[in-house]
Amino acid sequence: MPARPPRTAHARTVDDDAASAAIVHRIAHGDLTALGELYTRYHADVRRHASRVLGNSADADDVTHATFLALPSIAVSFDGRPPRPWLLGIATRLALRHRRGIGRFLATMTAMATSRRDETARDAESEAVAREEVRQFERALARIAAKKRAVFVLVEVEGMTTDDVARELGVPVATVRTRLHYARQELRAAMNRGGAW
Amino acid sequence: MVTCDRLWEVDAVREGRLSALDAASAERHRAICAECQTRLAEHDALQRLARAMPVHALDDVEARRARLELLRDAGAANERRSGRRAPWVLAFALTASLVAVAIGVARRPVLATAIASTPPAFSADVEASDAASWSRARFAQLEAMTLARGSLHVRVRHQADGERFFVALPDGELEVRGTEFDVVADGAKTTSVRVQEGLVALRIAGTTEVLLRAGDEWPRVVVAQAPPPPQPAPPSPPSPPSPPSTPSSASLAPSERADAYGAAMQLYRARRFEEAASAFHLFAAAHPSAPESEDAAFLEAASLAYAGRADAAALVAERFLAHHPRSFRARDAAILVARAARDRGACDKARRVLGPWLRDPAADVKAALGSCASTEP
Repeated sequence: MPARPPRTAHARTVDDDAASAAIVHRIAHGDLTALGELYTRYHADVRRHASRVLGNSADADDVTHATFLALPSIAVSFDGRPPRPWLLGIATRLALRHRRGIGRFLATMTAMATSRRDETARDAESEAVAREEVRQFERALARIAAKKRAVFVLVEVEGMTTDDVARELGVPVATVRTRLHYARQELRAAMNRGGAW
Repeated sequence: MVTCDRLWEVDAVREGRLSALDAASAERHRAICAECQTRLAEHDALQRLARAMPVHALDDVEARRARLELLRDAGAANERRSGRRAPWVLAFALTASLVAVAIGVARRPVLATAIASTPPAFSADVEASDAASWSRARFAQLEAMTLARGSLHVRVRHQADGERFFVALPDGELEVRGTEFDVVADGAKTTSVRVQEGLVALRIAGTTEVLLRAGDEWPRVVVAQAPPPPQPAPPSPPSPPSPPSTPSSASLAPSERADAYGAAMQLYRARRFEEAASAFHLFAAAHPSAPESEDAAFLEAASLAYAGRADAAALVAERFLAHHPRSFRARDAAILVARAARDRGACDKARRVLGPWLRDPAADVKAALGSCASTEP
């Protein structure tokens, strides 16, 4: 009997998506255990995305929590699509509505100060240069409008197509492309102004 | 200054918006256009930098805390939503379900089932006798089983806040919160109930509610273990809570238990983890049969872990696993045990305790194994 061929990454993804979609349907039926399961699967992805869109971990925690907390109410409208982009879309919408409080702002400042102190201890010059470039990029990304930043992160980091982003955010594709175009333009300009490029 | 009028094609190609023919044309053009090459390199660099941005990730314990908070808040939200509904809506839903069940029972006098597989929406595993006539339904946070005749062995996962689980019997009902029990009915009345784990509230029409704990049987309640020796009357009000020999939760006012548990939870939420661990320990010791005791035992371990006492947390988690091997928190407890074992270099133990979750290990299980994963024989 020939050996069974190994499962491809694609097959695994499809299986995972199907399993996750089944979990979402259980959430829609009021199963809180399923909510815990989905959280375990995707909380890191959602939080990482929210951190990039919002620019800090403290707010990202709130948005991640709010994203999953909203699921029992909105899971009934889930249409069986891959759950990850769906969750990232919800997180993005919540992140765009999120208003940073003074406490969060101070926490962010503290985190930045801590991170700078930690980084000064590093001695590898090349790593320091690379880190400086990333820091400059972070500052540039933080300065562009939240809607442009969200689209840029969804496309460039999460690898979503502009069509997917439009669907998840509920905006026209042309709007997504426009936001993406201006996000890139502003980021390029900022990196050039900062002397990194 | 932009001079190339085909610069827009750089992004169009990256985003897959061009046809194969147009994309090939754009790439041929780019091979000879320095401006397009620069733009592509810049946009690739933006993507690289975006992906390189450091993001602080939650560690295992933080993630579990966040998960617990999420489930607590989701349960509370469900309860609020249920509370906002007019009571008659819920009553109607439950009545409708019971009527539907009754019709089903009448049309199919014997629902012969060996083992009923658990649909995802239900929170119980049920093994029914061949002659059992039963059914079940779920409405949001309310799950109801109906037993007309025959015997059922039921394992109910712990109910989250806001969830309720009932078994409608010919002459009464059972209510449980995460337990394992057998119940038998003869078509007209309940003939026996036996509890293996947790706490069951039995309400038979015309009698007062009976609380049955692990080892108890009804109609003649027999405590499996010898009753504890009588304790001398305490000289003063019980503060702090008494050790395990105090009266069981079955004889305590639920509000008293709830207060003690609530106080421990408040300490936990205030991140006063050392005190929370002590409070949960005392609660679990004082109320071993209370429906909250399983949570309290786990939260004692979690509190110790947050307090940085990994070894103590592991000991408590190990005890939790011994008492609640089928708990839905067993995986989290096993992770606490495994992490401590891993840090001590006891890789065999780390792998053994995580055994049930190693077939397709999730990230937190892999992290708990850490270096022990690579030393697997």
